[in-house]
Amino acid sequence: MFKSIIYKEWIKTRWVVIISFLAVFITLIYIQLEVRHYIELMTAFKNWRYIVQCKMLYYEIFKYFPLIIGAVISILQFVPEMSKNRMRLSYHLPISEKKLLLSMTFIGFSLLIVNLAIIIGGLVEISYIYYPTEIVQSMLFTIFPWLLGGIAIYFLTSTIILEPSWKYRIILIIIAFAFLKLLFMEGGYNEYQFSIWKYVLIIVFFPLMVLFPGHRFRKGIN
Amino acid sequence: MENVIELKNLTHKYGNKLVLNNLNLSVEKGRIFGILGKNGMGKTTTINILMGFLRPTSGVCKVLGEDSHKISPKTRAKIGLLHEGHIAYDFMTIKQVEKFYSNFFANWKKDYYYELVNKLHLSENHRISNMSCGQRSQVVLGLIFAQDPELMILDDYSMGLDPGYRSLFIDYLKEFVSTSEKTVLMTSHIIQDMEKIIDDAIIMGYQKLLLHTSLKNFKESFHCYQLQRSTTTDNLEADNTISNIETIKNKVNLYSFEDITQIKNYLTLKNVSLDKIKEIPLGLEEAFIGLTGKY
Repeated sequence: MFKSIIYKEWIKTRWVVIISFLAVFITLIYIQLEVRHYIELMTAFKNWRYIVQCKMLYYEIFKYFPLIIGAVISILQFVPEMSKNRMRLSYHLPISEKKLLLSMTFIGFSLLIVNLAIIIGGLVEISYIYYPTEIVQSMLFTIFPWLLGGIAIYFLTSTIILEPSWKYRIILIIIAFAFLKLLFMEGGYNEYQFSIWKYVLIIVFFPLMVLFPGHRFRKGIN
Repeated sequence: MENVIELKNLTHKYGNKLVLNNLNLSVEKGRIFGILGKNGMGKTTTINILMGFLRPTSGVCKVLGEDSHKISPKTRAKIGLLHEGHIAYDFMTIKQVEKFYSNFFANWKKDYYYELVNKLHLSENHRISNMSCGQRSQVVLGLIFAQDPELMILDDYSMGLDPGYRSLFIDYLKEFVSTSEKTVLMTSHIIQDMEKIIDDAIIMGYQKLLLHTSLKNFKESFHCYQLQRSTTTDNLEADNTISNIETIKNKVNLYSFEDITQIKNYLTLKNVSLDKIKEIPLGLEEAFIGLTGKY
């Protein structure tokens, strides 16, 4: 059964997954070329000043990547299910609705995580070539809220799409917007170093959110 | 005989609007049962409750022995659902959708699916979203047949289908049901098609059940009597004897389950002139409209 669910989710999302992988790879190559270009043209000293004092983030191009990928994967997974009431087909499958929804979101989440892992891996790799460990660590702390934003938006968008009542949808959109704004308020590096774990603790519970609209849909709330 | 579907005092309201009022019905195993009624009489609400997508305000709705709003996955595998508008996973191809469903059902019969779908002469890689409504209906029916369910619930199967596809649908359904002891519950607006296939039916009226019988019995026992319009006929109202009254210019049509003798006695008591009273032969559709009314 799980194999079939993976198959369906893959059919819905495969193009965006392939395109996002390509986009991530191309952007990583671009970052590496740009960093090398700066170091060679501006000297290492100037480059260091730009990074440490001017807070120029050489990886900033990735800031909204996780957000876009998370939202798009969720939209591609759940909009086709909700349009024309197609979710009814899924809810009639011989599998409990909790298992079904958790499986679907697990698959989407996994695709997102692979994307995010490539971003982290690529940036760490590039950073280690040109910068000391402190810069690499700082880069990880700085991009972590962006990655969390991608994860949060995936579950929030899924919940919003699955929610059958427009009233609750609007409330969820407002909450989602406010929460995500909090994750993107930095103006430099390392700014979430001490508060990020609070966000992690909140986001850990996000996967369970999708169960509520699923249950409400079953009860016939429109 | 075992009841596959059982509705007891089923009541449903949308806010304050009462749609189903103490509906009672049972469907025996192996029967083909039709739910007929005009738009807005609660057919879709009943089907939604049966399918478990709506929790009734009160009453009991059991499907294969389980409450319809909490049917277990195991029992769900025994129920084939056709949703209004032949909903399907449009983003899949003919081959993909079969592959997807096959893992969910232990008794999956791939041949049943392809027997029906091959009639469309389409490639296996043809996307469902690029099909006509008729073609999609064949794919959906093929998937239900391949599932080999004990019970089929078909909601408005005729919606959007031309006469050819409607006929094809009915022929295959008839053939499938005749070779195995399946129970079918279906709704449609095409009364002539329903006549070809269903054993029993209910006709739903506004907040009440108008009739629960076989269509053959309904057709034979329901009559239309025509008489000249007069001041006394204008005073007639639908009651236990007269199911519906229709006035067209100077003619009055009375619809009733009573025979001509009883109608004459009834009209005499109401001081209605019996001059030129005659029985008008009714087709099934006319009888249905006569019972439910045109508006």
